[in-house]
Amino acid sequence: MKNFLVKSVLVLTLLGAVTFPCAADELAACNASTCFIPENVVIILPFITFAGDVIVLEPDLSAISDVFRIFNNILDTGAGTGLGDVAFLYSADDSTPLPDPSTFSANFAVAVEGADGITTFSNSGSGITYSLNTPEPGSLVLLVSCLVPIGWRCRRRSRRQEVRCC
Amino acid sequence: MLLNPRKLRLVAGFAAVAIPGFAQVSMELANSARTKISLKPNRAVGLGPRLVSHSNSTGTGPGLAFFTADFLSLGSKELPINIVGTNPSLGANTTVVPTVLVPLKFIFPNPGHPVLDGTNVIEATANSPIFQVADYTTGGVDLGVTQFGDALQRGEFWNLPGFSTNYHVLLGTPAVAPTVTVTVPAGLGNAFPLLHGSFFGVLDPTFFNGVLATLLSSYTANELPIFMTDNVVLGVQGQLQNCCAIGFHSSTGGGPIATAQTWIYASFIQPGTIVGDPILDVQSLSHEVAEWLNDPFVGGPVIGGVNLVAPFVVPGTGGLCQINFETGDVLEAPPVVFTQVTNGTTYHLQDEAFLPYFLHSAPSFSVAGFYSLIGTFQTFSTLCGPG
Repeated sequence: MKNFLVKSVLVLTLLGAVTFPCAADELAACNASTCFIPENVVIILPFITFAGDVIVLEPDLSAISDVFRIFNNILDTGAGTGLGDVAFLYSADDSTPLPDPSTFSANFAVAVEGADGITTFSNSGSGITYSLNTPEPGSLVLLVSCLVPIGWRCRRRSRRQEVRCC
Repeated sequence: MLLNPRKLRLVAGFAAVAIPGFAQVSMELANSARTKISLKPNRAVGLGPRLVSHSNSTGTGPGLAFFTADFLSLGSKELPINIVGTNPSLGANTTVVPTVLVPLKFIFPNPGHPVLDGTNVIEATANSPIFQVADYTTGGVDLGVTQFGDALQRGEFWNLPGFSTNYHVLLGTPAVAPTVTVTVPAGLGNAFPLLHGSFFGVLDPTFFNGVLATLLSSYTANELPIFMTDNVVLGVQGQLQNCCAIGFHSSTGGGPIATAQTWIYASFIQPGTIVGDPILDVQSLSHEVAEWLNDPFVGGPVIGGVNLVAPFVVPGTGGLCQINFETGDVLEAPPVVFTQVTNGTTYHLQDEAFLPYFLHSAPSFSVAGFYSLIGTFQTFSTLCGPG
C-alpha cells in the first residue's frame, strides 16, 4: 500500500512535467508476460518498468521505422533512463513523427521490424515481452499499388459487361 | 545463488523492504550490560588530524553521521545520494560511527538440537580488517593503512574535487552486546551437518527479521548494530533449497532519515561450508559494511532515503536489474574476493563498486580512474534495457 501511494503521488506530480504525444490514453493489453502495443496511442502500462527507447529498423535496415519509448515519468535518473509506466510507439508512417534522435534515451535497444508487421523484444530484467504492432508501410504501399490497377481493370471490364473479376 | 534480501530488484513495481512481524521465539539475554572486548594490539592508524565539520560527523548526534549530496548522473541529471560520513568534497574530516557487535546464538529443532553460536566469531570479526587496519593500494595508489570501509570510501572519492587524503570514515572499536539465544521453532529453521562435523544453519527470513525487530530498540540511531551469526544464513522456511542470504543491511522507515536506525546482519562463514569456499569469514560482512556506508537508508523512503540510480544489469545474474546504489551486489556472482592480513590472520573481503560505476561518470572520480576498489570494474555499469 505504501508503495502504491508513493507511485500515485509521483505519477500525479510528474505527468504534468512530461510531454507526451497528443493521443488518447489507452491501457496496454498485457498478460503476465507479454504486452501488445499499438501505434500512435499513449499507453499506460499496468506496471512500473525500465524507461528507454526501442529503435525499430526497417526489415532491410535502411531506416528507422518506429520508436517505442517508455518514459521515465516515475523516476528520472537522466538521459531518458529511470522508471516509468507510460509508453508510446511512434511510427514513421503515422501522423506523429518519430522523435528527434537527439532525444533518444541513453538506455536504448535496437530491433528489426518483423515481416508480419509485428516486432517483438523482451527485457530479461523485467521478464516482459513486448509485441509492437508495427505494420510495414512498404507492404501497405505494395498492396495498394496492386489493388489500384486491378480495380481499374475491373471497372473498365465491368463497363464492357465483363463481370468475372472482383 | 547467493542473494541478499534488501536488494531493490525491480520485477513489477518497487520491492517492499520491511521488517515482518515477530514470530514466536524464546530468547534469553545473558547480561544487560555491553562489554568491550579485548582486541589484539592495533597497528598505528595513519589518520590525519581529527576535524569535525558538524556535530553529526562523530556519530554523537541523534542520528547516523551521513551527508546528502547531488551527484551528476547521465545527462548531467543530479541524483541525491546519502552516504555515511561527511561530504568528501569539503575536505578533511574523520567520522567514527559507534558500532556494536551482537552475537546471535541459535538452537535448532533438529535431532540433538545443534547449536550455532555467533559468540564464537565475535573475536575473529573484531580482529578482522573490518575493524583493524591494513594497507590498501589500488592502481598503484596507496590509500593508506586503515579499515576496509575507510579504504573503500577514500578510494571512491580519491579524485573528487575537494577530497583530502585526511578524509576518513571509520567504525568505532566495537562494543559487544550480550549473546542473544534463540530457540528456533520447527519449520522455521534447520541445521544441516557438514562433512567436517560442524553444522550449517538456515533460518526463515521472516522469523529472523522478527528476532531482529525485538532487538533494535536496544540501539540508538547514531550507532551501528551488527548482528553476527556463525554459519547461519537465511532461506525461506529454513530449507536448503531456498538458501541463501548470508547478510543484509537495512534501516527503519516511516520517519525522517536523519533519525533512522540502520543495522547489518552478516554470517561468518566457516571454511568447508560452501563447496569451493567462494565465501569465507568476514566476506559477507565486508559486502554489507560497504553497502551500508553507501546506501544506509535502504529500508527508508524510496524517494529521499534509498539511493536510486539509473537501472543497471547485475553482472552474472542472467540479466536481473537493480535500481539502487549497492556496492557489493554487482560483484557477488561470482564473488570477487581479495585478502588482507590483520593480526596475523588472513581474512577474505569482497571487491566493491564505486559510485562512478552507477553514475556513468567518465572519467571516474575514484582512485586510479577505477570503478571498483581492486579494479575489477574498469568501466561503468550496463544499463538495464528498456522494458
